[in-house]
Amino acid sequence: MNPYSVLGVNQNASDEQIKKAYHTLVKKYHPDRFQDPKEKEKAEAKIKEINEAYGQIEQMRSGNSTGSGYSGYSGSYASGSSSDSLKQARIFLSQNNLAAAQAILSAVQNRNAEWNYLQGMIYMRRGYFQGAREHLGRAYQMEPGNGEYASAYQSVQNMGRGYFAGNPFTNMSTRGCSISSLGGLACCAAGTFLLSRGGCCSPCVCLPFLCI
Amino acid sequence: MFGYVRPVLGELDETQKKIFQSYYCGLCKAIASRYSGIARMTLTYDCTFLAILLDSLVTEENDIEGDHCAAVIRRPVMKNESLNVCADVNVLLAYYNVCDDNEDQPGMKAKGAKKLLKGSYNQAKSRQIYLDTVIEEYMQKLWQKEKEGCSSEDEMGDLFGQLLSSIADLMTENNDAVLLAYHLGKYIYLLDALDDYKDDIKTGSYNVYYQTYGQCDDLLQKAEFNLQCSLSKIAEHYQKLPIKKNRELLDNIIYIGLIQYFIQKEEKA
Repeated sequence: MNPYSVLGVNQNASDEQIKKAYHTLVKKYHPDRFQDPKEKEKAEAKIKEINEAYGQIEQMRSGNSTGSGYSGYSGSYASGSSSDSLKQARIFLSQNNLAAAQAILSAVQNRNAEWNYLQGMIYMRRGYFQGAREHLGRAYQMEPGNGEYASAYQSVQNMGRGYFAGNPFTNMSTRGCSISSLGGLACCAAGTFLLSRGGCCSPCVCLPFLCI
Repeated sequence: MFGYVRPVLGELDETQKKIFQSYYCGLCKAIASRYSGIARMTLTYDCTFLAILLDSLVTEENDIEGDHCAAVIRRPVMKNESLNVCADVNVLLAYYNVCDDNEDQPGMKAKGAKKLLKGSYNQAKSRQIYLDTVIEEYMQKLWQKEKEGCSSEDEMGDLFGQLLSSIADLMTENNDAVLLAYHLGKYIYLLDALDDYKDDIKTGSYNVYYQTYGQCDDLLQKAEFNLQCSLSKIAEHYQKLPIKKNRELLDNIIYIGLIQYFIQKEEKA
């Protein structure tokens, strides 16, 4: 499907016009505005379509491809627009509209510290922890002095500790275990309840129906 | 892909053990009465857990009766609606798991298993048309990604997580239960990949860790971050659930059952 017709704009529309059309449509079809599950579902599908179309246009326009009639797209303008885009992505992120935020980020060419930070935050929300750590780490490396990036990187690194921290079967801190490997951690967890019960924790489960 | 979600029985008291067994046998019985004796062989711990979790959100009392298993042994058996739906889920997942084996390693064994389960699968499909479409959709996506040689743990785990959460979504209104299922799916997928890593290299089957890191000796160090994050998320959503019963049993599964793979590994080493 033609991405321009999805947004209801002309092929020759300016970036501004496209962005405006996009924002209007996103607001109109925001799934939170619909109560009825069926309508909500329809809106979600529509939003997806709109995001894809917008992402596609952004990609086409910011790509290095020549002869597409956008030769006037100057470098300085591109960098200005990418910082605007990041601002917009941040807004979408705060509204938990991950698809829209992602569509914007994918289209941005200038992948600076902020870009990496935002990408990391999107991954974090989606449960892509590996990707989150990678991008937040990159943002932190690029701008170590930025408190926002540093604390996000710190929190993603601490993510994995929640399981053992709230685990009623173990008390990590008092045993002072090193969190070096899951094997080590697991052993630590096991060690604690092994000691407390003084028994074997080997889960030698006899399958009821298999031991007929 | 199955068997990672189960309690550490040695850490349960007799009452809790009996409750777990009655769910396990109850699921087995539900499969037998809805399907066939052969389908019964596909009984999994994972679906038992799903049944316990869902049932513990619905009612406060456990309704256990004695029943016969294989004509001789009398065992405590549970009967409830959650078990019936989980029986369907169990059969559907088992069938797709066999199909998955067939994709990985086509051979007589996988082919035979697929044939044996086909009848039960058709029955399950007619009972749960929507569930079957959902599972098939995500399995197709997984196979597609495997063919492409996808090297992202996040993406592969996400697909299996979505599969499991879509199943949970149909069975419960509780959003935390659905999210728990999502992260559990991710965890199961990644743990299975970790577990099969060496075998997959030997047989040349797809393995997401091999795609990402190639052959390496410190895979656990590389893989642990994502696994730990998934565990944390599982625990986070589990703590928010309005559980009405079986808390001790569920605690056991969530907090030590899920990591017993690592505990056993450590003990062997």
